[in-house]
Amino acid sequence: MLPPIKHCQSTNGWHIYHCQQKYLPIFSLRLLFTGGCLDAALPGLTRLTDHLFLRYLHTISREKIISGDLHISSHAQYSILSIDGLQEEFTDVLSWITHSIQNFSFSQKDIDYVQFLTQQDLLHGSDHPDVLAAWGVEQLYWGIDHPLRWGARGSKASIRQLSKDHIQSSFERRWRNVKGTMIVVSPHTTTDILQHCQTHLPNSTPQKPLAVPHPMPQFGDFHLPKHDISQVELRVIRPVFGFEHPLYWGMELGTMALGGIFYSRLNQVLRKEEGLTYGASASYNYYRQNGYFQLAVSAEQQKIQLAIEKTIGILNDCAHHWSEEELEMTKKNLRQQFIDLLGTNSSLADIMESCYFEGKDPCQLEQYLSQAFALTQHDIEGAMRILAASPQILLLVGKLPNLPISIKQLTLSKF
Amino acid sequence: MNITTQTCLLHNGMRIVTHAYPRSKTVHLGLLFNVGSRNEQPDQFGIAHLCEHLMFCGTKNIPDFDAHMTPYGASNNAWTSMDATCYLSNGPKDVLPLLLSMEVDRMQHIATDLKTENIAIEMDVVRNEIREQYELSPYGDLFLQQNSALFGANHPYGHPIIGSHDSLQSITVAQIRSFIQQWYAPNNATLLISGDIQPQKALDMAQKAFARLSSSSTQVKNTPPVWSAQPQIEKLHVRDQASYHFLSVEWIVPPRGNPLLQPLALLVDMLCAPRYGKLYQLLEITDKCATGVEGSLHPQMWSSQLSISAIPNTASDIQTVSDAIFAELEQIANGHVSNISLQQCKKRQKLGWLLSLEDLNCREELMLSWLQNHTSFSGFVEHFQRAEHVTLPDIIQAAQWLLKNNPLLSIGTPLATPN
Repeated sequence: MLPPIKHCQSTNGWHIYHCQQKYLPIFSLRLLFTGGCLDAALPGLTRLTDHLFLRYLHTISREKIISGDLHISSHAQYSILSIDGLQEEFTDVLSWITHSIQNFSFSQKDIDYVQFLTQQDLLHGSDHPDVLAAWGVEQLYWGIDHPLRWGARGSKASIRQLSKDHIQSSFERRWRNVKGTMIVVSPHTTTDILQHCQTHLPNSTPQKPLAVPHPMPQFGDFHLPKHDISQVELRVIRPVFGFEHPLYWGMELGTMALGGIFYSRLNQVLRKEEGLTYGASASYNYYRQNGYFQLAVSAEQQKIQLAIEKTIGILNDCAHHWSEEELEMTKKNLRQQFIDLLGTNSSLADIMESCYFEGKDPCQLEQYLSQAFALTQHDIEGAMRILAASPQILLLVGKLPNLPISIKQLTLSKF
Repeated sequence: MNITTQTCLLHNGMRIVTHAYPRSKTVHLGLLFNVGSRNEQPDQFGIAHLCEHLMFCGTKNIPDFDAHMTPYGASNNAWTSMDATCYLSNGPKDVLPLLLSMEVDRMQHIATDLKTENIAIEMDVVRNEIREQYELSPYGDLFLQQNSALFGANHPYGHPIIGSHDSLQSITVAQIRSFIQQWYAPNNATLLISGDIQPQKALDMAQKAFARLSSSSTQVKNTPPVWSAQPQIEKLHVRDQASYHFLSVEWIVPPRGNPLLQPLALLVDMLCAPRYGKLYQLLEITDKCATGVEGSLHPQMWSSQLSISAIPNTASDIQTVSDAIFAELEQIANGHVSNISLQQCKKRQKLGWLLSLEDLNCREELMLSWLQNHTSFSGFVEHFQRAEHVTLPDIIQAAQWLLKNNPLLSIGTPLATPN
């Protein structure tokens, strides 16, 4: 399925994972900088620092002829700089990034403005019930004192407290004292990539990221009021396990069959049979040793009780009725998804990044993916039994009719 | 970059095109019907999109469309625009015969085999879609009103593709069957088969499958309305339960295929591209008065649309942003535009073109878009590479054109903001 992925380490300390794809003169680059919101002094610091840096990058590249959009995403353990561009500009891009890291500076005015933007983002997010639902899930799954309860965004209060010293320190620690990994898909040879990295990137010292502390979920049924909308967002969360668990692929495939493809149990019942929703989905979100399963449904207010009953019914039944046919169908769909994912430089770089994030060797990607196809009914049932038996968090966002369940109120001020 | 295709025209009027892209390791089908929301009668707004949903409801032969293909690793999707409706399916290369037979079956039988209970369920699904995509989002109402404000309620483009709750509920089963029978005929269809295929073999297979369908003579001829760049109204203002303001400036520009569209596309990029776009730099970086600066150009059969939008930081920034858009256009129209700027846009366009070709889903969409008003792929690659030949005078002329023609100003303000 895949061309070879090679690993090497540059003399300036970068671990490099490279896949040569000669079809088109384009590259996809992902630079992973160890250090994320998990070890930030305050919630929101990592993302605000990265946002300031991104604006700086956008300012100083104004006069250069550089194609491709640049993104920085802030995660629990890494910040990731991503760019897809033309092959001819690869070394210019590396030089530009290095120059920016070395010369990054900002004023109090810049900080004030990015703080304003961050506060605006928090405000705007609360206009959207699906965003509110995502925030609610984070809060309830991780627990009130967990460093990831605010995700990468922080809270209004923590953003206000961020100072120039905080930001300077965060940038020094994560971007200047580089602990970097490069993932690249390009027409270059690996030897050329190595050479370019040694010539154009700053020195790096390898370091493993911090482990994610275990969550402290608040179980039960919760309501986050939002009175100006006619739909209700339903989220059902059940803690399961992380990617080190032997049943990890069982959970991935089970999630897909429950709600990850159009012909899933969830869509069949909620959309096709009942017409309750336009979109229903399931996902499995994980770190090394912990993870959770989530079902997401949007339904009309008057029909939300029926949607809840049907959704919980599917979930409680998930350990049963797994046939060879359903397993084979799910595997075939997964295979097609992989073929799609491995078909472009950008999505291949993304999947290599995911592999690295999971502590796996991206060079063994094909072998790693093939584990999914070796799964048996027994594996999937094992994972689903854990899911069926797990306690749950149920969150409703919107305006509710009277429901026969005891619900605790969440308030927006918590965000 | 070569895009080689093979085409045939069946006796029933259906056009079939095959395109080999073995790198994809999959097979894709794109079945395009020359019917969209522009073909709807005033009492049936939303019917084209509703019928798109209903095409997946199954026939007597294939009661569950998804269940029939999913076990083989195949999947499907569809879209409806103002001009066309398109059905997409893909899967491992050996499922081509299955996918072809499923398309033939539903073209032949869906109109007669549709059950009223399925129609009722899909009506609910579409109404949920209205709620989720528009009513739940701030200024969803503004987006639903924009086409009418731009083109006028009586124009074929002057209503939302999705319809409304009222219009959908007034559509009858008889109207649905009649719409499908009228428009889902082979002489109104183009099939593109692409991916890891043997082109001639795929062409022969498709010919054999679709040849037995009969053409329909009941289609109303698509007569373009008289083209005008003048919007119906000049300002649309919606207040909504939102925490932010919104501004967009929309122009009616010439239809798909017009030579002005290439320089307009580059001009939009020059203004709005992240990092080096003039408006992006001015509004987001220098003046810090807006975020979310975006520009787009939507080519359409009868009239295209060009849009520049932003999220002003405060109410008073709405005027600032609006003024900045026209000021930048004036600058360019007066010749204050550099070759470096143009080269940046061309490089970005080149990258976009390459990325589109790399991904078969995007390549297929480009090819289907082309097929909406071309009968062959002669000139396809040259058309997209024509951006290379756009000159500074072309860009200046494009800016002058926009300044000469009035746009629609769409403004969204929170309910909490004083009027």
